[in-house]
Amino acid sequence: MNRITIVLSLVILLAFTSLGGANPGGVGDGDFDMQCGGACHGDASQNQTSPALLELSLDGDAYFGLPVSITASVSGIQFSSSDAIGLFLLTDVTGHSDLPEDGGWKVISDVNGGDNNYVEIGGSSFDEAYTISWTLKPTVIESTTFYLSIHHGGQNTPYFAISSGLNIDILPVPDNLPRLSSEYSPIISRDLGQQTTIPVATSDVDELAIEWRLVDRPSNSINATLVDNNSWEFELPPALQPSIIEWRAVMDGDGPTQITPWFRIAAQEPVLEVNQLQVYLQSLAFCIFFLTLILTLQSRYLNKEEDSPMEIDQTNLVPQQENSVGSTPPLPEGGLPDGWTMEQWKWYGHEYLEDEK
Amino acid sequence: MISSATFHVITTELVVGSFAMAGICFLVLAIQSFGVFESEKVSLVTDYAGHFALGFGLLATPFAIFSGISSSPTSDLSSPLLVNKMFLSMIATGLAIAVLFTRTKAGNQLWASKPSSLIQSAAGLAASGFMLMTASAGGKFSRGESVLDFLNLPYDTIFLMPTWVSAIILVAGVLSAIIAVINLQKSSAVEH
Repeated sequence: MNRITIVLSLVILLAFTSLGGANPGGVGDGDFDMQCGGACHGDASQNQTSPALLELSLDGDAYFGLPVSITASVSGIQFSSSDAIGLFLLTDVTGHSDLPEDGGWKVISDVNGGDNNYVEIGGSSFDEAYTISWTLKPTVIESTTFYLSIHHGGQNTPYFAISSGLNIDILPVPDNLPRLSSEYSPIISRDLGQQTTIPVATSDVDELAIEWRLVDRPSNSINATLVDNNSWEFELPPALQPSIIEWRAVMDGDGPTQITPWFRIAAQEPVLEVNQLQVYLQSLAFCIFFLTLILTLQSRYLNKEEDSPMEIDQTNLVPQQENSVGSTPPLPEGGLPDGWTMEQWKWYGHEYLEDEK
Repeated sequence: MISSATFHVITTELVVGSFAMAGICFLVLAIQSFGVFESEKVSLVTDYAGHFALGFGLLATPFAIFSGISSSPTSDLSSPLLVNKMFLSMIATGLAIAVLFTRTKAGNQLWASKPSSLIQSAAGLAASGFMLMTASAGGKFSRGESVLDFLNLPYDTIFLMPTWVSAIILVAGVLSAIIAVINLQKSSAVEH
């Protein structure tokens, strides 16, 4: 029993090492602060400085409540065996409260079709340059300094670096500027095979044209349909395989023509929404059910096998007793001799009869 | 350091290889249980090899399950295939534990009884089969195809019970398992 306990304990302890260890293959996109960037590589104190060159730039002016793109340029990366790099868009370098949301910005879309400040991208060689962008919207009128942080592996060592700051001043929206509504948030994902109607809410816009394209492909132009006052819509073709379409709006009105940043919409397999606890509990229930089924069947048949020889043994005993009783010598004519008991006669009666002869 | 995905590949290869080996051994034992042929030497070898392979595969299974979860794109059960993989691997685990426990407790006496030997062989074979189906689902998830495609297994469909049903099965199962273990201990004690 002790051996089984020790083995089970070791197995359980070892099984949890993969959960508690580092994540050299990445952790997936998400909203992570810089401390998580350290935790992703197990121990932040073991990080080496990455030789990557990092640069942030703002595409155009940032108006209060209107989307704007921040572009990150990355080069000179030394890849790990998994050739994956993680990039953080941060508003602070203290390691906490450094998400764009903490600085009064909302991430609308990222390079992978999500709306996260941390994205992972794959690479293929040394010294390759990458340019990715986030589309964000300022929700408060105050200056913000953005930083780009990178995490990657290489030579069995985790690497980390952070860029110099990019200060962005938020401008108030000029009168009559054709623009998206400040409450507008574009759809960023859809299911495969789904014809998608994208609604667009605007202000001070008379005409709205849409440019859309597959990533790194030529763009197509379509006109959006006016649905209601300041409400437009246009359709994107269905995607047959996981892919990302970029689109932007060209807005004409009384003010100067405005072009929005590229928004991204990712087509993906429908995401399964399932209660994880329910799945784990059912898995365990299945495990125990089949374990019990076999044990019960085996205990039943094995006990049966144990029982049946015992029954045979007992039945064998009966004839033996009967034989022994049957071998009791016949009593003499006068009956049991004086002073003899029946038990004595049973065992020594033969000798008495022999003597009599 | 290696990524979860690479570690998952290593552990699944260990699991699948061990369970496949065990499956062959239990198949031979099942054939012998039916009396198609009898060989004491073959019986002895397949008995030891099958149970050892099953035990080794069972030790590697938790590593495969946890590394599989952490290497999935969102590190959780985001696809029906992954949920079915979890179910299949846990069924195989339960069967394998039962087979090994019975073999340990009953010893060679197990093969003296035809029903017991048949149950043991069938359970070992089923454990191997479920684990190979798990591997097949993994191939379907990562590469879009698997060797069992011709069976058109409904990997995209999930049989999900309400939590309270799972809880009842779990509690009833644990209680039944305790009774079965006590009975097995008893029969083992009687034998010796």
